[in-house]
Amino acid sequence: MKDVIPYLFFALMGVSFQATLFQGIRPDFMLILVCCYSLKHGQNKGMAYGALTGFLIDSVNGFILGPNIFSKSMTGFLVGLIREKVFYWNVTLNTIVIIVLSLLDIFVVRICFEIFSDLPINNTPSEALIFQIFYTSAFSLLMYPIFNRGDEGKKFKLRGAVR
Amino acid sequence: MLFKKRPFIIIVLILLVFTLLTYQSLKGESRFSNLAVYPLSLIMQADSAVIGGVKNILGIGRWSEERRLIDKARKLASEAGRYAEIESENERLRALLELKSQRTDTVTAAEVFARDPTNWFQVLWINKGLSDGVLKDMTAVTSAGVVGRVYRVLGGKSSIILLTDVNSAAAVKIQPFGIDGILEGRGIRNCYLKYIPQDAEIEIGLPVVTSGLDEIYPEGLLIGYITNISKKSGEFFWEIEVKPAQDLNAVEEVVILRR
Repeated sequence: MKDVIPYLFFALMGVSFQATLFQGIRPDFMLILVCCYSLKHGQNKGMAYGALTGFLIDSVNGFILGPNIFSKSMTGFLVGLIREKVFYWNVTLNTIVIIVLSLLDIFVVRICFEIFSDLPINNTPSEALIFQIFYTSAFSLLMYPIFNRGDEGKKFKLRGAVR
Repeated sequence: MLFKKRPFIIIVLILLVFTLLTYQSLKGESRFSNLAVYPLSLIMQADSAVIGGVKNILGIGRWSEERRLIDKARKLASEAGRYAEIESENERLRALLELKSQRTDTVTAAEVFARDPTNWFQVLWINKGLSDGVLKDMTAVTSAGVVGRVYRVLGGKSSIILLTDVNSAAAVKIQPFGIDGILEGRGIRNCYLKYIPQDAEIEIGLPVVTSGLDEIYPEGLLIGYITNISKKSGEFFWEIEVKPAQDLNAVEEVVILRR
């Protein structure tokens, strides 16, 4: 429980900063947060945290509830999976994972809107989304030392991992 | 204990999300989303105020004469910056007041405190809502031009969907010829003007204003100017790009107009 409270605070502040600090294209802080939380606390808690952050994002943009809940909990699930299967976490892996997860996040959100709403979200320019991925991976590198303090090069639980 | 049962969590989460999505797609807008918006909007308003304040604050330290002078210079620079900010705020507010006094259909003036946290939508949050007389689909303008329309109204806050949002459309006409068309957002800085036939004589720089035919935006409000005209072979209509007269990334205050 003690671990959840700071991350809950980070989630609220993350959504708030994303909404107030940036003008134009903004990075996906929430994705980075979910990655960090899932890396530290595992797949199940990561998924739950992803669902919570997704709920906050969906609430603020106010169109339909669900796309970000689904995409962010999936992010928590996948990062948890990587945590169990991959035995090293470093900057390169961090960057690759963030890029892949951002792409997946965009894909899932787009599909959900496409199926469950009439919003023409497909018209969102790809350049905005490409820059979003670029900014998110850049911010994940900035946040890396803070959130992964002491974890670099450290072995995670080697359940099912191949050396 | 609950967190130990992984398949249970995954299944519950997926079922919950898809039930929620299906419910919303059948019933329309959901009120659940308002639950988190109230606490979040308070945090966002506080953040917005802090960010505004931090812009003018510089570090302070007094270890030496040199340091003291550097501090003083910084303070002066900071004050000059603050005065410039106040001056520009004054100008904006004066223009808004003028706009309010010129029009009879104004409802209220409001301050922008947040934007949509994702890149999917172009939405602004303002500090006025239902309690101030703001209603859905009212028009938000500045002295420079139209910003968008009110999309979601809460007690003391509302969200405005910008002209550049992909979900935004407005009935407009090109001045001075009065050629009617539909303006659609592109998700970035500019908008598209559709359904202008290729025999229409148009040129770059012409102003685009609201026509009032959509019964949302009042007639005659400046939207922006034509910045690009192109033609695709086999198409009946021009492809026209319009740049909003108001820089929508720099909106800080708006006036809400009645429908």
